[in-house]
Amino acid sequence: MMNWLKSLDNPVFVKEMRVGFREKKVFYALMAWVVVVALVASLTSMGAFNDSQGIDALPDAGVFFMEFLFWVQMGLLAMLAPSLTTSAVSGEKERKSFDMLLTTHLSPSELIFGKFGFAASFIILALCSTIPLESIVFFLGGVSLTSFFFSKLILASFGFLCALYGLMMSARESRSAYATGQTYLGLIFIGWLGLFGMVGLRYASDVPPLVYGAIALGVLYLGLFLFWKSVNHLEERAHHLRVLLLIGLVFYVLFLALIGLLQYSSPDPTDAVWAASGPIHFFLFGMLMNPMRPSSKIERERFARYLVSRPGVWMVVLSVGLLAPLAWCDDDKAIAICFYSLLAGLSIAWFARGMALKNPRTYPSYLGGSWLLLSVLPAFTLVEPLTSSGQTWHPGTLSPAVMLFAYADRTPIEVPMLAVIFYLGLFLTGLVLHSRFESRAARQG
Amino acid sequence: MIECLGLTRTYGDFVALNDLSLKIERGDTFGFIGPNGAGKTTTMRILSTLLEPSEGEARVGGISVTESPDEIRKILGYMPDSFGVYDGMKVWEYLDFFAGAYRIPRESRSQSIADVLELTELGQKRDFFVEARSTGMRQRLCLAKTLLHDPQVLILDEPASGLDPRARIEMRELLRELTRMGKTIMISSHILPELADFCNMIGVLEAGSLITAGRVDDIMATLQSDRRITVSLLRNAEKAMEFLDRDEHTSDLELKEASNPAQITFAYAGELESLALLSHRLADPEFGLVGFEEQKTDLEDLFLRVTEGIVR
Repeated sequence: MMNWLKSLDNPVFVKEMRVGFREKKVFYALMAWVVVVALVASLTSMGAFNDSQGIDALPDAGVFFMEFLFWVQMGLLAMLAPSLTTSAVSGEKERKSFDMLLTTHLSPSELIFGKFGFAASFIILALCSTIPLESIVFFLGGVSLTSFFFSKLILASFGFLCALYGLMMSARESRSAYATGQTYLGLIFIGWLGLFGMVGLRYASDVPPLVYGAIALGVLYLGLFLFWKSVNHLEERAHHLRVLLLIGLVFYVLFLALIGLLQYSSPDPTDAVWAASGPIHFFLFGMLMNPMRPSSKIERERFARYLVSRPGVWMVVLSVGLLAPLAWCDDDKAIAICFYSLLAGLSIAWFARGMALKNPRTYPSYLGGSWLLLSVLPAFTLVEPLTSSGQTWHPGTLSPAVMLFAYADRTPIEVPMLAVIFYLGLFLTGLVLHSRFESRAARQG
Repeated sequence: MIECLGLTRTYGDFVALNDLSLKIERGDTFGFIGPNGAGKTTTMRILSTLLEPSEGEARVGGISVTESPDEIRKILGYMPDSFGVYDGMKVWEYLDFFAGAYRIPRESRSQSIADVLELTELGQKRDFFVEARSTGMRQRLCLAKTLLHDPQVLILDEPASGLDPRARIEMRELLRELTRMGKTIMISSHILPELADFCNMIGVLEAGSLITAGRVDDIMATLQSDRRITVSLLRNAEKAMEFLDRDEHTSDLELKEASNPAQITFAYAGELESLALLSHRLADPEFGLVGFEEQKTDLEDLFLRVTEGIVR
């Protein structure tokens, strides 16, 4: 407890609170927030009370009121939370105070924590400031205190993630305008995916509680990832990258354990869970094979010493994580999906990594380009859906998207030899690229 | 206290700093001279752990800047050439923030702040907002924050740039006081007389290479061995030129006939005794000698002559 309190005695946090809450724009932003929520709350509650359906319909009106306010606040948070952080670090660079901060005894993580602390405080203040307005819902009924509390928790988590995303962009860019543009563009893209997920969950029936646990774990991971990514953007250090990778490893194991628990606790374990693990790992291979390294020579040497920095370790961990649970799986389709994901996911990632070794910043382009091209182009060779026969040498089998859909669609299985040979070739190409890079690096000392 | 060995920094193909080696002892005040883009700021940023050298090694207080940057930051104070202040912050709040960032315990923070405010003569301004202060006051405030944790080594990049003459004099006094306190200082400036006043060591950088470095007195003595003399004559200046040209110790003769009296400037490499003899001969009434003076070499001359390749 004392340590946690000590972390609040962070000079950057104190400074941000002191200066931030003195600014007029912060006051206006808070006022605008309360006014908008008050307006929406008034209109919604008036509608609920004027409803002619009588007192029995009030609980339903309460649920509607609560949900409507929830989405309104989420929209407001998506706009407001990043604006609190998009100039947090880039502003220091523009103001030319960044170098002075770096030469103090503050660690980059303390700096980021201080900046995030201010944004988080504002978000909490904004969410708390509207509680009196929202408490009308308790007159209407239909919403328990726990649901109310959880809705606030979800909103706060969402706000924190948006703020952290803005902070990461701000730490990466040297101009606040770029950071702001990239943050909002990114959030529009990610926001749609999140929105679909949330709406899907809202209307899905019989969602096991462990799924919510997995979502909470995912949010926590994303928060930690964005935080340490920001720290690393501030000052590239081997230690920061190691923490990033270790967080990834720990959460990967936790996710596997959670899925295992989900299967174990279910009276009727479903093979669909194992089948879903295939595509997830397909993307995980790509995401975790990033040839990232610090730009400084000495930090690069330090980074190379860590076990988690070696791609081989991740290959083994992910392959075991993908294939080991199949021992409890009877469904041939799920097994086929997992093996195809392993082959294609690992080969594409290894090839893209080899291409991006010289300049790790190009990795997302190589990876994304390969994913897209290999998924889309072979699909054009499909005149009709894959059937049980003719899969062995069909060019369409090169497309991971086609194959994963085909397996999920219960198409009978045949070993896609062409795809096996192609992806093994891609893996070998990656191997050649890696060894060429290594030998060139050794020659240059 | 500060040691650089073969320090090199490149940006792609551009070499910003080329094989710089120098050594500064504890308590020395080292002045960095060089035109814009010579590599002064790059060197200072490397020593302040803000930049990694492409090659070579740099140590401050015996600690490697690349291996233990966090340790270096404990003993070093860095003042950049340009910096901004935070809006909406008072002078004492600004210093309190940096005191916290330098991990000065809360109980001794107010004393540290009071000390640096007194040293930089900002005591009266402690409750003023920083953004409303003049450039000179901001420079002093930045120096005050640099001194908060009582660093042994100070790296000051152009601390007097943009200051008016009065503020510059005040800054010079402040730096002189720091020299008296025994701090090891590395300072760069375009205003060379400023450095001559309190630096005991200088280094001249040009196009990323250190042309010369050492004790100011030693470098000056090297240059003084090649005196420049100016004589002013009322008559027969051309005859005097012929006479001087015949002397084995003179060189680089230049006659300014347009001036009245006519002026001859020349370099003299002989002993003082023979110079006295030469002046005696020129004192002959046929030349009408009205002036005989040695041009004093200051840091400005040194810089011009060194960068012209005279010493090289």
